Amino acid sequence: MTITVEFRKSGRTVDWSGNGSLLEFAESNGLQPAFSCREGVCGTCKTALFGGAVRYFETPLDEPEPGNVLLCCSRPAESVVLDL
Amino acid sequence: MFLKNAWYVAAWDHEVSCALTGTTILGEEVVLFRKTDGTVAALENACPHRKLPLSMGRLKGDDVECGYHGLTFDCAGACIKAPGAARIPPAAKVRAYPVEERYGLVWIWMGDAAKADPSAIVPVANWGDPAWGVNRGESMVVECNYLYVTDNLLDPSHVAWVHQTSFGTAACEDAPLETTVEPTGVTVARWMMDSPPAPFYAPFLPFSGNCDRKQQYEVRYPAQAIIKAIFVPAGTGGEGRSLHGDAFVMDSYNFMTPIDENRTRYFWFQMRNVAPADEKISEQFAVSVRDAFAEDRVILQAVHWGMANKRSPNLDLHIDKGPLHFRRGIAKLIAAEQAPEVALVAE
Ligand code: FES
Ligand code: FES
Ligand SMILES: [Fe+2]
Repeated sequence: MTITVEFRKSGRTVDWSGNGSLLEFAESNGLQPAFSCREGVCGTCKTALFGGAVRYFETPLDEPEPGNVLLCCSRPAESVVLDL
Repeated sequence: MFLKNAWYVAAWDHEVSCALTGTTILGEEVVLFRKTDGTVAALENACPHRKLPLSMGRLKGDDVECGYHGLTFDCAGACIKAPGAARIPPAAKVRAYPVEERYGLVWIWMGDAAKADPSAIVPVANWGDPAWGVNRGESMVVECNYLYVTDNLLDPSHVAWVHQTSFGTAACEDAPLETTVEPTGVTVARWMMDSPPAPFYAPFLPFSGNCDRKQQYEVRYPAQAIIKAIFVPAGTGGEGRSLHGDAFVMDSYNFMTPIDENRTRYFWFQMRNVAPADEKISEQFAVSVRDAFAEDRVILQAVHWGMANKRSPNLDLHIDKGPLHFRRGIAKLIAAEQAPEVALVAE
């Protein structure tokens, strides 16, 4: 089953094909989400998640509030809708 | 804020004699002295009458006589003499702190005395082993919060910029770091393969040519760092491989004692597996380490000032992962200690 990533603000939906982070995936699709540490500690890449779920491959220093994800240390667990 | 139920280094053993010595630890005034049996005692450094520091009084045997009106306290902090008073007031006492001497250092327990367990003092591997030499260290005061020092000691990357003439090499600039978060603290480590040895270590390596180098920076709560430096001939290093026979190992022990929120007393020594009995080498290391730590000191004091006076936000980088996890860990321990009831309910 394909996992899709919807960048809602940009109005685009792409099949997930990354093996890195959602942040890298968004960047490889031409988006420029905010970031600083890229290690799950600073919270800069926090983005609203409108649908779906992610899996953290790196435990963030602080779990973002429900409905938000840290892009730099997660990848989709199922199809996701992001505020990007 | 500080973790109280923990051992901190109060002084080097040679800094405590039978003279009353005042010091400040975690914002608390403490007086240290050696008793007639040679062991160290630590009392609150304030007479309960008019709060004159007891360190301004006199040591009478194992008792401390206040220099103002002569209230006298034994080394457990009980008042044993109140000159001219019919009876000793029950409130006339000072706090006594548990003290232990180990590794040439005087350790003090700043929390609940009933919880003081000497076995919780950080273990020093190979201590007393004749195959290991000790670079006897010293101490210095750094005008910064102690967490800037723990940040620094979980940050191998700074070596390339702060210690260019000593510990650093170009290889230190971008080898990736592995961070491990444990209940006891945080460890940041990396191997840097096949590079020239750093100038500080080069003269001591028992082999020539390039090396594989491991940096392992562990900081335990509340503020005790064990920094391992390993150098092996190039091509023989790497995680999980047994150490080459010519391996050079230096374990650096760094103990930070907050004086208060803005000042830290920093104690250190190193254990090395080469030339154990060579006093000259011990001395050479001691000098080089002191010079390197002076380089850190300049930076950390300026960082403390800069962060306290920032006019625009600062940012966190990937290299801050270890330091920030450590800060989070110590903050949780302090919060749990200050609200023990809450912690109990949560368990
Ligand atoms: S960029 Fe720092 S948490 Fe993602
Ligand atoms: S690069 Fe770290 S303070 Fe400037
Ligand atoms: Fe340093």
